[in-house]
Amino acid sequence: MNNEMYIKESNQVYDAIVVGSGLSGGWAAKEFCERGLKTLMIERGRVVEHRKDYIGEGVPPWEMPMRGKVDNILLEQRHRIQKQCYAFNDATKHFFGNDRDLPYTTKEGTTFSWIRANQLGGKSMLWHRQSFRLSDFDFKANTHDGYGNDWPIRYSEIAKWYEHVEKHAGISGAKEGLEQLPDSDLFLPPFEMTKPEIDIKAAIEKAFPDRKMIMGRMAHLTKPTELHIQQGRVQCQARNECQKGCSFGAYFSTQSSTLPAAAATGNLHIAPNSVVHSLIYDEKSKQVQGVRVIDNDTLEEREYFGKVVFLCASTLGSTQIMLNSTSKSFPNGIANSSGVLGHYLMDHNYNAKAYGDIPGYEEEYYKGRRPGGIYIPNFQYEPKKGSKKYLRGYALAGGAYREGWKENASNKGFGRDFKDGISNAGKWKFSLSAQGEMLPRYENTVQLHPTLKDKWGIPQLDINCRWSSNELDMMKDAADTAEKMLKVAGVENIKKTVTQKPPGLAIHELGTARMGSDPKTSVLNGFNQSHDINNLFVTDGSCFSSSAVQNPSLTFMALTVRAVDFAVKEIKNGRI
Amino acid sequence: MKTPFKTNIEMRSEPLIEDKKRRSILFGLSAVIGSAGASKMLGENALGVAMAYQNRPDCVRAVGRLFTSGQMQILREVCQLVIPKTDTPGAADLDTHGFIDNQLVRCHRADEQLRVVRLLKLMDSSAKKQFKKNFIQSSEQQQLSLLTSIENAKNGFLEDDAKHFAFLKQLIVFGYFTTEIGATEELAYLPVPGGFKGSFPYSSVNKAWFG
Repeated sequence: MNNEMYIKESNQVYDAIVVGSGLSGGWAAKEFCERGLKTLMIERGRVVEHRKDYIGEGVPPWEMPMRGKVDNILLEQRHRIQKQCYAFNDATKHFFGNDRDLPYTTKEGTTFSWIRANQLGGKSMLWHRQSFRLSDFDFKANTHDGYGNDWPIRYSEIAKWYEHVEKHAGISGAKEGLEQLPDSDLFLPPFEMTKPEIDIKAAIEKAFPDRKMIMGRMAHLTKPTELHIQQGRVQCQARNECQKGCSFGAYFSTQSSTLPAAAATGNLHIAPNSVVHSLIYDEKSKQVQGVRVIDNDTLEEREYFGKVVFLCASTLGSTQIMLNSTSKSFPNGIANSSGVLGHYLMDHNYNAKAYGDIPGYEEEYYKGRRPGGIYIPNFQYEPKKGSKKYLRGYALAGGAYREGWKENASNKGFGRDFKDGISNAGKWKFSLSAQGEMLPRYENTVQLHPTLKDKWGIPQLDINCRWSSNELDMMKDAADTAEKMLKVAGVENIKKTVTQKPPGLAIHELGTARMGSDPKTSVLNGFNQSHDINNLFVTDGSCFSSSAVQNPSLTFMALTVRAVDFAVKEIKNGRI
Repeated sequence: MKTPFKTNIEMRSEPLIEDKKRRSILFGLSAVIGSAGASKMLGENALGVAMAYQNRPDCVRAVGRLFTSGQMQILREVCQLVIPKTDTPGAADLDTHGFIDNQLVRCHRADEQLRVVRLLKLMDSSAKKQFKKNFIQSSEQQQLSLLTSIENAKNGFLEDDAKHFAFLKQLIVFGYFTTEIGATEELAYLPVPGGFKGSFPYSSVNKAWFG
């Protein structure tokens, strides 16, 4: 990567400004650059270079000071929230935010775990890489029960953009022909199921013809194409240590895939360490002129200018910037004539689980660490298929594995027998975990705290978000249902749990600047363009009108490239 | 704070490049893009700077960060009883007791630290009561019978004692199997598997994968 790409001060008026460098920002930058627009990507954190800065990668535990665990003092002082993320450990902690510098408040009686990745690449470094399309059942979900507004788009409008993203990113998976989970024509081969998984799949599908157990679709190069090899990426090695960074470029991230493509055009500049304070709005032209930035390190102020601005700063990040951008026309946050900015915050509910032992298969094992598991797509994807006790549905994710030394550590006994018992693979286990849809509700809100600010002088977010009885009832049912499915599959010693973890930890923050056809009830139109300001677009998860059950990242990416295509056409036609 | 005898962490002033690890990553890459390309891809970096826990064969005599010298000696005995020397070294041979002393202070809560200290004291006082000897002076058979009683909450030991012992055992196992010998000799360690195979005969590896 050439160093001239990184800038600090600039008077240039860029053709496009992209705020954020994660999944959405990386795609926005690539697509603008490839269409010949001089593009400035603004990142609030430091530069993380592919390979060079993956300092935890490939380090065996015995070379880590606490063998992968993180020091208490560090946890207490810097990572009280971030440590709740499953991917947080000593080899990944430098890619998570420092909670001390990133304060936020939650309304009394509520909790929200806000996971942050403020560096180049954002959460594309840390994501779980599950990549599923939404279907029209999802885009129409809000029309059935009065929760939320109708998405202004349908599957046919986004299908080709999914394909565009999948081709470049590389998504492994199998064609299943399911109406609620559209296939791609470009799938790379799916990861293999283990023998017990193959048998469990057969048993579940026989007992419940409406349910399919499929291999998870993942942004991993199981078999790279020529295009992927050109990007400098090679086949997934099945280390499953992705969040440490992957020098193979085997999973999709900004660093491995979109950034090299954007950089290759010569049209990209990046302003790192630039915390966007607010957008600069011009009352005369009724357009955004650029962004005000506070330097991450020195706290100096500077401005960048552009003809079109894409906010890709994460759901809560983008909304915070918009709420903090006030003007005569928009006293309550820019592009907020509707008043819904900050409302309808959603996450996914992951609180139900069932698991147990699979008898037999002692001679059966696997080799390598599959970076994801099996998936049972939502089978309650329309009201007539749904439960009578709650609205919407859930997917189930899980897999089979053999117990190893960590589980065997609770064996009883001493000496040689105990030692041998630990070194041998133990029982096969199987688990199913729910991924439930969360209703879009007006009262789940983020707003700016009236007095508290962060070190950059930006008002802190005050989050007011809780599960409703719908999500809680759904999780109870999901645990019961998963238990029944394990039973028919011959799983033994089944346990089921429903935990009460707060929203946030699925790290699927969605909504707060929702799309819609009606400018009175939504912030963005069907092309992620602000209803109020024609050169302002928001293409991260904040645009979602409903959460669906699928992992949302692939949709962030597809919506982003679609929005760029639209914006560039509008610019060329003189409408922006 | 300068505490030369209270720490088992030795800071390295120079980056530690582990040849074995480097080789295995290079090997995995080479398999897919050729060795010249692999060297170029990984360049001088990608392999983090290690600040590794250093084993200290003599640390049983030392005062720990948490434990007294007497408690360290008891813990050393317990480590070796749980995971003895076979054709691979035992837990005490690999300084698992020194590791636990450090790990408890760095990565565990004060109440968890206290539980282990109390447990070691309990072992010693019980040995004195039952065998009229310190724990470390008791015979191996006596030590094993005592630990078995604790583990099973029998012969006067409580469920809580058993729970605390289970916690200590987890630490011993973690400390042992995250050493190079534990991970690569007792278990099958594959830093770069090269891909995922859903079906693989257990008898061809005959032990559990490290991860």
